Amino acid sequence: MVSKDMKMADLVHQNYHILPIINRFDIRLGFGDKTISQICEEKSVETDFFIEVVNVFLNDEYFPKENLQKFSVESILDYLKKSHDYFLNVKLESIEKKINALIDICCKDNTSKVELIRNFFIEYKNELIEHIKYEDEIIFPYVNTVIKADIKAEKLENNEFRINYYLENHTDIEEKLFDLKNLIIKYLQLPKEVEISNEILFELFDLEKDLQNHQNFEEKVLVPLVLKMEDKLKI
Amino acid sequence: MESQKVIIYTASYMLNKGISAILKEMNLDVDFRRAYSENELLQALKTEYYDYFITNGKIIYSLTKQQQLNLLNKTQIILIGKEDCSFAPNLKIIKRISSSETKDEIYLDFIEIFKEKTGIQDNNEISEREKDIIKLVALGMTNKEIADKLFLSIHTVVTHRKNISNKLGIKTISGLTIYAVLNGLIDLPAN
Repeated sequence: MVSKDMKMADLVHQNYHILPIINRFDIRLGFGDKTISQICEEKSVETDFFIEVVNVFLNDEYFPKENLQKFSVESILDYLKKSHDYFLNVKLESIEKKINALIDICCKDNTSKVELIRNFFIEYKNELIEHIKYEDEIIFPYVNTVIKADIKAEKLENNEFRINYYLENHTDIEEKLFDLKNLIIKYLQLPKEVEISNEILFELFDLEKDLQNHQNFEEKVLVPLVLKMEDKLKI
Repeated sequence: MESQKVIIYTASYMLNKGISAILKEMNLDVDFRRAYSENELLQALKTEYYDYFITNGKIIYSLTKQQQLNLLNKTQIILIGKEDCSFAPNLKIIKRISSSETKDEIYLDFIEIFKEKTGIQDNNEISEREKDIIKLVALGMTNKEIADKLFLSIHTVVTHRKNISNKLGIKTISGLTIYAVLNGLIDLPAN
């Protein structure tokens, strides 16, 4: 497990996949010999929250729900928003670029196969974008109103919406990503273009892991916290 | 043969206690233990392999995807109550038991579960019948339409589709369509 006194640089040496996660806290490369807690203080990041997020990412089965629910909803919300930005503006684009590159270098006989994969990816991408936008535009602003009401100990004006409506499952989108990986691993035979196919797969695995963690934070930390506030405000 | 290992953990103390009392009373050849907290459950699953996990939907929901996949990937699950577990499609839920079952009913359920080992079949070959069904799914037909066309019951079609998804590792309709094209089961849709 990672602790506060560890050097930030060593954390990256241990597992470089952590970098995009660290970036979500506005922490960028060029750490020098500073420890995690020093950098967190400089950037006004809640160190304990940072450590837990990192540990959850590094240890597959580790997810201390109760502990995570002790952090402020604002910190959690901010982290989730930054993850959304990363999915939308970095990850999805990068995967699409690689699939396009694969089409460009494929010999003619195989182009149509890869185009099928691209279409499937685009279908997936659009569903994910729609889902993220729904959260950004409806869910997260709602959470903000609940937070505000909670601070002022006021009743909520919006009596209709409750956070558990949002517990619709992510299963459909997850299944598409799973299928996409399997289509490439098991059924897309290309004679030459090995490297780029590998790279596409690496990115899909990264995305999947990131999304799973993201979903855990939404469903098992954010939602229960908002439910508690809603209960208190008796809407 | 070693006796089968069972772990019991539900959110309800009464259920936990009740289930283990019933198993004890039935004197089945199973080696069962109870967990008393989620942490204890996770710890047990990490250190030992269990053939069966008796629980309810609420507990399954409280586990993360990674915990479900890594700790329960071979364990068969017996679910108490009616809660929908569609959020955990990869788990092997082999039986649902209602908490309102009578003594005879629940005895029968447990005997059925533990006597005939519900083994998981590992034959991954796609059969000709399954190929027919993949083609029709890829052409956009519903289960009902497929059932009518092949003179099968809807139930049979649903079972075939489950088996297909398990064998191929592909669950969505668009995924199956691409599989069908890549494997020459149907031609590329002209566009």
